Amino acid sequence: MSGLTHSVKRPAKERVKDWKEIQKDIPINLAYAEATRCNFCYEAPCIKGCPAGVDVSSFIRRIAVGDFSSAISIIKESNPFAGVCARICPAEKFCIGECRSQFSTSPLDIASLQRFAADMELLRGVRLPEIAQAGKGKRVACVGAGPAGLACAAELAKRGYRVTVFEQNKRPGGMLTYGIPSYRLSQDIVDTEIAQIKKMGVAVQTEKKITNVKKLKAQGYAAVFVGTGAWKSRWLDVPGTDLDGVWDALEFIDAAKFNKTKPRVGDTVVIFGAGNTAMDCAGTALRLGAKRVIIIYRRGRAEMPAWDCEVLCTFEEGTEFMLLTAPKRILGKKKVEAVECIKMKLGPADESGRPRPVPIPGSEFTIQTDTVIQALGQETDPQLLKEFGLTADKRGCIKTRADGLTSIPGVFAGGDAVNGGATAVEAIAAGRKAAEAIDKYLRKK
Amino acid sequence: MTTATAHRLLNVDFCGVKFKNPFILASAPPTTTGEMIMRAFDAGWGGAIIKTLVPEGEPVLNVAPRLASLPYGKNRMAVLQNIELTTDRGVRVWLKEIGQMKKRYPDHVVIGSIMASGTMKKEWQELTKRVQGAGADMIECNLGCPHGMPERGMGSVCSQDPEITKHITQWVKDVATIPVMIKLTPNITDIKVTAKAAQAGGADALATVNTVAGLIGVDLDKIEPLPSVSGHSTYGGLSGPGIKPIALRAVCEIFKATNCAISGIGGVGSWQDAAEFILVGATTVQVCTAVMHWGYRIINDLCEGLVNYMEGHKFNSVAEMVGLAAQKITMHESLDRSYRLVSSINKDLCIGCGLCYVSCQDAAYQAIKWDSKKREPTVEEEKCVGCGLCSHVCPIDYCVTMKRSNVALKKQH
Ligand SMILES: Cc1cc2nc3c(=O)[nH]c(=O)nc-3n(C[C@H](O)[C@H](O)[C@H](O)COP(=O)(O)OP(=O)(O)OC[C@H]3O[C@@H](n4cnc5c(N)ncnc54)[C@H](O)[C@@H]3O)c2cc1C
Ligand SMILES: Cc1cc2nc3c(=O)[nH]c(=O)nc-3n(C[C@H](O)[C@H](O)[C@H](O)COP(=O)(O)O)c2cc1C
Ligand code: SF4
Repeated sequence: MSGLTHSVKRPAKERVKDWKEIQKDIPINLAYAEATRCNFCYEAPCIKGCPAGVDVSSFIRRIAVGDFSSAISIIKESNPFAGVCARICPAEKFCIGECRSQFSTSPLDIASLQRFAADMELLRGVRLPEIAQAGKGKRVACVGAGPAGLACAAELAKRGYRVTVFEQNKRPGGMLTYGIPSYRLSQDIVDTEIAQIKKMGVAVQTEKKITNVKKLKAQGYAAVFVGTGAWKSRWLDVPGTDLDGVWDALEFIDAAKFNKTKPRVGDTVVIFGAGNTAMDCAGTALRLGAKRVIIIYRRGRAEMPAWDCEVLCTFEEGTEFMLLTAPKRILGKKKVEAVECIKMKLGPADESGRPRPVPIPGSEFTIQTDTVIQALGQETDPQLLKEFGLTADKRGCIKTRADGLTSIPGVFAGGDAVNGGATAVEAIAAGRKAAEAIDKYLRKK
Repeated sequence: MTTATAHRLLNVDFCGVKFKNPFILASAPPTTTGEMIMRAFDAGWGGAIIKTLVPEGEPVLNVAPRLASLPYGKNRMAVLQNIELTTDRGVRVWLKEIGQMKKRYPDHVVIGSIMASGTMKKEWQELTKRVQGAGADMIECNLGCPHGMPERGMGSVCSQDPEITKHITQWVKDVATIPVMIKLTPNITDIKVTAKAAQAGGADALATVNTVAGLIGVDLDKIEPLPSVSGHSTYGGLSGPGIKPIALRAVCEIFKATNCAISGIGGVGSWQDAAEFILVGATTVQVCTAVMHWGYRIINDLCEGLVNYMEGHKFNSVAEMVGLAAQKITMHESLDRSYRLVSSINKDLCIGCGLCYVSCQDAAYQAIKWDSKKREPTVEEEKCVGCGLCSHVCPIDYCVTMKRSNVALKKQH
């Protein structure tokens, strides 16, 4: 975690009591102080660190010289989800990880600076990008209103295409809306940035599930982008998963975010898995009133797939981590009452290259609990690929060329559906790259 | 990013020459060669003034090092001193390059900078004819360089004497078919006198400041003045952020004293600096040190920042802005004595450093109380004269500000 984040993060004790964002607004004086630390490096490495290619050093300089409206325009040039990414990007792995100041003092808190620029725009009024001659006549369809589909649509709209985005869910935003809890990303921000994309001329049709992409082409869409994400939850098939009180992670977060009556979790919540989804379920469970939240993971700390910043946040808020522990069965009559676990130890590496967890015979024990959440992560739905007639790669994701072209001419894809589940900013980058390829493809046609 | 339409706000007409934006590279290291200037045009600079040419046969032998800087805070070059001479590249090479630049960049402005002494009529006129013959859009006469050249009767000695300034201007104007700009030195008691002399000689435009004469420092280990050329040094010319207030005053003075168009120079590094120069009377703005520090790429910050500022203030052109603040410079005697201000400390922002207290205690009117336990300063308005010192020493932006007040000042004896 770099400099600024620390001074603008709300204390754990206070933040678990509500659903407001963990990070506070960035005051102008802190933003200025941070921005003026920038070396304004030649061939700035932070730009290469950003998957979307945001011109980081230029936008920071604009903050340092007090030109906030240019700062946000520069970010939006490469990323229509500036405010979203400022909040949820694992920036330490991207731009911040490249900052040269880490070799002198500490890296700049680029995420907070981006957040500052995005928040300033909300305060001062939005300026839309210049749209190329509207309506080159050609229509393009995007399937899925997640960050990939919407970023692709925004870029195509800028280039003058008429774009319609089809979304199966009630709300647009994909995992930003249904996966990421509001205490990490306020839904207002997601809605506002999507509204800006719509203002650029993008039509979004919700509750429209697409089952056949070829039909879209027959309906007059000259090209199609598939950004359907990775929505199939992995499920640990132990006895007892049909009991009341066993949740799928995504359904749990969705219910906590949007249901009128929030899920009742009881005093204790046990979570299977240690990825980001598990961390989000833990924070959500605490905010729903759980007194004890336990993450159960069969390997050790080093193997946990969640990002360090997420683990730290979860730990600060009081979640317990039972590592080297695997669930064997969920116990209960009609409702969940307990989980039987077994201790593990790490053996030699498996196919994934990580040490294989091996059960220690006779080490079984039980934990009393009211709720169990399965949070082992998500993958691309193979059924969908079949329906669409798209070729899959080895992992079951959509197979594409580097520019996003799938096995069907004129059909492009990107985001979680292609990479198997990564980050919002990588989905955005893929959507924009595909937009460029679509533009090239349609100009040639 | 600001739109192309918005960028049209930056178009200026400077003595009949059209610039796509008011930003010009000053005659200096960033304009050492034609190739460099063309890269600057690609980056977005509106115009460039070639590094000063002297008559053929004048020796130009540079030294190393020729630069020394005064770092201040985070700024490595708060003030830069140079003892560099004029261009050491030949006249013929430059004439060829001026032609190439104009051919490839017809929409960008190329200005020829020339220099000779106060007695070299023939040389001034010959350089003028050759530079304009090569295709330059304007001529800048460098009467301002304060180091090296004055030893030969060139540079700042010329614009320290109104008579010399006037007759050089006349010589050049007699043969010039393109607009002529006279670059003046600030190293003079009253710059209005030389500005008026240039105007009387027929100058179309004035440019100021050339560098401010100075001595940047002393190496305390070696006991040598800086920049030390093998143990010895010479007084040099100062540039960069530290000279901006001197330059702003010079521009404002000549704006009010003459009718010439003005190119403002001295410490411009940001769009705010540029806007300030324009508001005190400049139509174009020249930049040297900031480009030496950060490269041509800062033109983007300059242009976009200025466009956003202009849009925010609903200015339709740079011309509309020229001199708006200069009109508000008046005699000290005429300033409003009934305007009462007092210090106001924002307790939410205050970090309890106590700097405002110390400064008021030791350098003002003891009008701030200090609670040592709470580390909290409080202004006693009836003692505060409103000098503003505390608001300047406070390390937190927007924490200490000056506000209007009705509380009467208690007379101290
Ligand atoms: C709990 C959780 C936390 C996360 N936290 C972060 C984080 O902190 N930072 C980060 O960068 N990333 C995070 N991610 C990952 C990030 O949200 C995804 O990488 C990103 O949303 C992928 O974008 P996408 O557009 O490819 O897919 P999605 O966001 O999944 O969007 C796909 C959309 O397509 C729609 N769709 C699918 N099939 C059809 C169909 N047949 N017809 C019409 N519509 C369809 C879906 O309903 C969905 O709206 C998190 C993910 C989860 C689940
Ligand atoms: C190293 C150096 C060399 C310079 N050479 C010239 C020159 O040849 N001719 C000239 O007219 N001015 C010359 N100048 C002065 C600049 O054009 C300019 O007037 C001055 O640097 C102030 O502007 P700044 O603060 O933007 O640098 C030189 C300045 C520097 C720093
Ligand atoms: S900048 Fe450095 S490397 Fe370049 S000429 Fe000057 S001293 Fe030499």
